[in-house]
Amino acid sequence: MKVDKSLTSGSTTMLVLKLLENQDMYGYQMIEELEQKSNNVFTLKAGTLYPILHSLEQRGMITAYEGLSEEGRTRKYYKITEKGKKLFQEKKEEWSVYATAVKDVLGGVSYATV
Amino acid sequence: MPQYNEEQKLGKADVYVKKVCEQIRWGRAHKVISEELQNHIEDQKEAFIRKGQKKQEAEENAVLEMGDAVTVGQQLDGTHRPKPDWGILLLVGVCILVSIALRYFISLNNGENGGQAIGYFYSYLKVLPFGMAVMIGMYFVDYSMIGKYPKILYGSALAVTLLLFNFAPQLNYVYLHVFYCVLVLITLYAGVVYSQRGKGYLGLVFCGAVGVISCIVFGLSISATWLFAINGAVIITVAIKREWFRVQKKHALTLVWGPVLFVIIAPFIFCFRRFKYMFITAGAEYAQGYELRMIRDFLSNSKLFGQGNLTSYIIQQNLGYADGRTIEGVLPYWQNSYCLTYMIYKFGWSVAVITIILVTLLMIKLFKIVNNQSSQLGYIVSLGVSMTIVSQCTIFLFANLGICKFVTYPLPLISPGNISFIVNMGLIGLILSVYRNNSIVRDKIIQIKLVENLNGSNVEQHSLKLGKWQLIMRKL
Repeated sequence: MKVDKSLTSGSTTMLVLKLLENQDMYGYQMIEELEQKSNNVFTLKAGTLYPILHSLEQRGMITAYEGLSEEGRTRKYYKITEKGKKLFQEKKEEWSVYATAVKDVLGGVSYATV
Repeated sequence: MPQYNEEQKLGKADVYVKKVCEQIRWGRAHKVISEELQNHIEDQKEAFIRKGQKKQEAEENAVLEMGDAVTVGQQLDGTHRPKPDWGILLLVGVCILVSIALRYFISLNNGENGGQAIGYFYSYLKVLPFGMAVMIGMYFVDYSMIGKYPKILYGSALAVTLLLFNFAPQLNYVYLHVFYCVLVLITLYAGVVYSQRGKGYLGLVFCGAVGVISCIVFGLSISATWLFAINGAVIITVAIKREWFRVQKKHALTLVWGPVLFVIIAPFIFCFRRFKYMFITAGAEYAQGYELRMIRDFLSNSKLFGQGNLTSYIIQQNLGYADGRTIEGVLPYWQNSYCLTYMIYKFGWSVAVITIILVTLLMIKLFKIVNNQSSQLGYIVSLGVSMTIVSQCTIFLFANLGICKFVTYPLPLISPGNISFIVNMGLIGLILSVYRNNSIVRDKIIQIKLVENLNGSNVEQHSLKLGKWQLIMRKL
């Protein structure tokens, strides 16, 4: 199911950091992984991803290095830094608060007295 | 529905990438960004081909998948704005202001040499804009040249050092230019070490040979040799720890530090009489340990705030009162080499505290740049610069605080010394360049042969070649 883009834009940074948490990846790999993990709900465009990646690199949240992919082509791999891990935790907590609040407003049990 | 322009509809990957780059004002970033986007489009194209699309169609769709070129370009332009480390520029500014005030104060107090002293002050004011120009010039230089042409750069610098023996002034058989040449050579040496990545023990030996030849060039300047040997050894140690040489770390470290420690300790063994007076003053014959004893005496008579008490060097021995002598008349080199000792005596230890805080802040900021580098080259070059500055600060502070005195060279950017000022401004400019170019400098890929033990038998595994470069460096 396709969802409204505005819902995902705020959390894209958090999702990108999550992808890099356990494994260094290059851009295209991240887009594929994200699609797969979210069952095609998140289809990130390259034009959205790369500015985010470069911005995170500028801020020291991730670093980059040249590597070779399995096919033998040069790839710019990204790797999360300690600073980036901290940012990820913060964003995750923020998201948790937000998601709980939405859930409460939408589907909380009604204790209306009869 | 996003609006696609004509070029995108034609589906040319390179046209798309060019359009993106047109929005990015920093020209140097174009190459790295183009490569990344092109590779992405290729990957996407191949994915479409696997799904059954034709080549032309796949490329068109891959480009469409990227998003609007102008928007993407504008966003990338926003993140690729090259800028200096403003914190360091601020500290440099503060250091220069302190230096101006210090030199002016010294010129006022230079009783006997009045005219000459104010002359030195004015010559500094003239050198100031030149130093700033050097810093700005180095800032705009592409520092990655140190990684691309390390041997040429190092060789040239060493040749210049050699040539200057014909022209440079000397003091007691020691040529004064050597120390300043070493300040530059340390960072260039980092480039040489970088060029030996992946070359095993052979690379290590090459670095060692370059080091030995350099020390021979430095000749009788023991201070220059020590400065170079210690910093060079630290740089190689860092390289070994980062697995650049892929050798047994313990053996390699012994190979490096063995000779270096010998170089450091040898003078103490062979000329113990002369070198022990670096630290001790008791029993010193005239001129040996004289300066150190005097410094310690002035320091022990200094207060926290305000001028210190009269010392035995100022009080006439028999009569117990100052005989008109002043610290300016007694302490040698109070105007430059020992200006901190002088200021401590004149204004109190608070001066030392402020100086140490200023210097510490600068060093912290420098090492922050080192730690935030994405590339190995950026790391080692910025490390070389930082260590060069730290070494000078250590030498100056140890001498002025009476801890250890061998040679006296200026405190970078602060204490009087025009050549020191220009060289250090150049070094600061260089590390600012490293900071500026962090997002676009990439290490060369080199290849090694990996031998894996698979099911009891050795299996040789070759990584793929990329033109003349060979190894995969996956770890940072």
